[in-house]
Amino acid sequence: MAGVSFNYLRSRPEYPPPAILDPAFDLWVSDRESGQKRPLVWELDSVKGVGDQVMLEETVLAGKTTLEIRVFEDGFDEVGVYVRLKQMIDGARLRAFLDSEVGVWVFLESSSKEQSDSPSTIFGVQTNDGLNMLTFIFSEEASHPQQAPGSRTVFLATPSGRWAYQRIDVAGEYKDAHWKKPERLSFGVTLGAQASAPGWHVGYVHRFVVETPTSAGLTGQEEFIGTASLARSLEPPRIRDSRIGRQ
Amino acid sequence: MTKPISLPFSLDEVFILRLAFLFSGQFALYEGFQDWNRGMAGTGAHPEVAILTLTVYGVSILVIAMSLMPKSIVLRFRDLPLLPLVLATVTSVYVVARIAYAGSYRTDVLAYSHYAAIMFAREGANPYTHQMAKALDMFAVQPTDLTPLTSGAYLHTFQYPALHFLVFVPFVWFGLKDMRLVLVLFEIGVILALYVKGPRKLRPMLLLPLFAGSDLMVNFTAASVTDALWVLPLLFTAFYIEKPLVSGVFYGLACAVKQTPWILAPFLLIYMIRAADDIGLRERLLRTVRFAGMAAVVFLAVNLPFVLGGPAAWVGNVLTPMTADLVIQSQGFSLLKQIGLLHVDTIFFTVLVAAVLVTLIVNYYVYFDELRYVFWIFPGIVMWFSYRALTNYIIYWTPLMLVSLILWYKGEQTKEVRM
Repeated sequence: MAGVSFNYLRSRPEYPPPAILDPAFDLWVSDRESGQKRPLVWELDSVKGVGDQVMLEETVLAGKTTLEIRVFEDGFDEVGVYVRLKQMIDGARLRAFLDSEVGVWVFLESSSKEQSDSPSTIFGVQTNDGLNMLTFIFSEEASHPQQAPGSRTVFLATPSGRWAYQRIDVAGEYKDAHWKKPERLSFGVTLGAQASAPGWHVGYVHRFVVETPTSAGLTGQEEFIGTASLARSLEPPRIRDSRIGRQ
Repeated sequence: MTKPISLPFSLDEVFILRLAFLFSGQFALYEGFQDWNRGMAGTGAHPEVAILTLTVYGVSILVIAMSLMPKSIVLRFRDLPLLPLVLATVTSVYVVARIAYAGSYRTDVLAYSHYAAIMFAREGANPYTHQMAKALDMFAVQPTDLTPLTSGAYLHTFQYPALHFLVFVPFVWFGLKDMRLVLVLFEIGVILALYVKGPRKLRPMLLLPLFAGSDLMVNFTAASVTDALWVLPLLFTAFYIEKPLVSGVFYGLACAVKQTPWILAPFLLIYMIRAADDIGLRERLLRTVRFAGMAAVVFLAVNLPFVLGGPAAWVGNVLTPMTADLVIQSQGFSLLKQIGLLHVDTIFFTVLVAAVLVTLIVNYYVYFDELRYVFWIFPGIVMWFSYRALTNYIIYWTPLMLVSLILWYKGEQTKEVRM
């Protein structure tokens, strides 16, 4: 009987460790240097010019609690403004991450139509394994993926003015890029604007969703977003794990 | 031939005392060096740490030297080994907490409990109906010290019975900023209770298991582990176990602090029924009911206001450690799953825990005479088989095993006198 029970229990699905910690940006703390609020679990990384600004806020948008990322590019110097909220994923968490279906709820502001037309702003999800950087950019227009040595950019057609669910297929893109599976990965949300795009730029993230491959949960969400990743030309983002000027 | 002189003490007693002097001095010396490393090496000057370290070193050397003084001196200062142990504990907890951790709490548990005490003391708020996430910011808890769920989200509710935060309320009123001091006070209470209640000749030796390593008395408390809060009342549950009403009061208090002592309930009930075999069954059942009734009354007296303030919230929160989908983290049997050697579902460990618990209960009842004093470690054994088996679930039963040792010793003495 014990043997039968053990076999039954063995056949039940596994519960891997969480691939993404605090996927809904629930926990916030005051940054001791800037005095501003920031997510506790996610590491904040930013690059900016003298007059540029980075702001993070926990807010509610169209009925969903959300992480609001806002950057201001003053346009006076040649330094753009980039912010990234990231976390390191490795070991069993990375295996779970690569084996699961990962998605994210994002909101592109209606005004981002102009931004997305401009090649000088990005709002997306980025991974970096130390050798290769993969960027998923939420864009209103379709475009083919761009690949260069050590970097790949995928454009996810995203409607503006409402919440959209996007799948982030890191394992698939690694395969398409013919990259070796990573041993550890920096994973995060990024928003940035080059110096040639002065003004405020904003992106909203409700939460990441991680589901096991056997789950059918993503089907309904996929209906919400429309279709697959399509491409558009845009300069690859320039953030490479820099730790300049935390705000 | 010289006739042996009858002494008021035995050589063994003096030998044990000398050993205790050496051990306590050596332990404090070790902790003193650790404190110097934590507080003086490389992190800048901390004058208070320098003074504390010098004091610890001074006391340690004195006690070590005294271990081989003439026996009259050793006997006169027989309680001296307490000093370096308590001094090293207090100093180390201070240095680790204030210097190494820069005052931040290293568990979400203490942060949430302190925050709950503040909410209750200032606003009369029921913490079971509020989110506690603000506490993480308030007490600078690091992401690595949080309790993650398998979804990746973190627990941010207050998950313990009410005494776990109520105990801090008076200290909030007094303006205390770091509740680890309260934990240390409870620890000192544990040390003194064991010491005072222990057999006089063996007292110093009795404390040694508590200081076999720094985790139980120093590191866990400095890292904001709160288990000392239930250990002290449970100690008195054991000491007064032959007085069911008094024992029930203390057991009710221990259960009102944390869920861990709940596992003892079946064993305590069996003890009440089986221990007093010189009285009739009716009387034994009556004393069992007295014990259980008093424990229930005390538990409810502490918790009922919060239960009534939000029944679903209270039940949901207090059952969280048993029902929430917590990430596996273990120094127990489930470590095999954690590292991928054992491929079983979480429910396997629930079944395993239930099986071990039932086995222990049955064996305790059937083999009561043999296992009479052992049951204080049974919860530790049960929890070692659980899905989430952390060292503090086991190590904090050591003081209870020492109480049981005292009770065994006194029981054996009584038997000898009768014979």
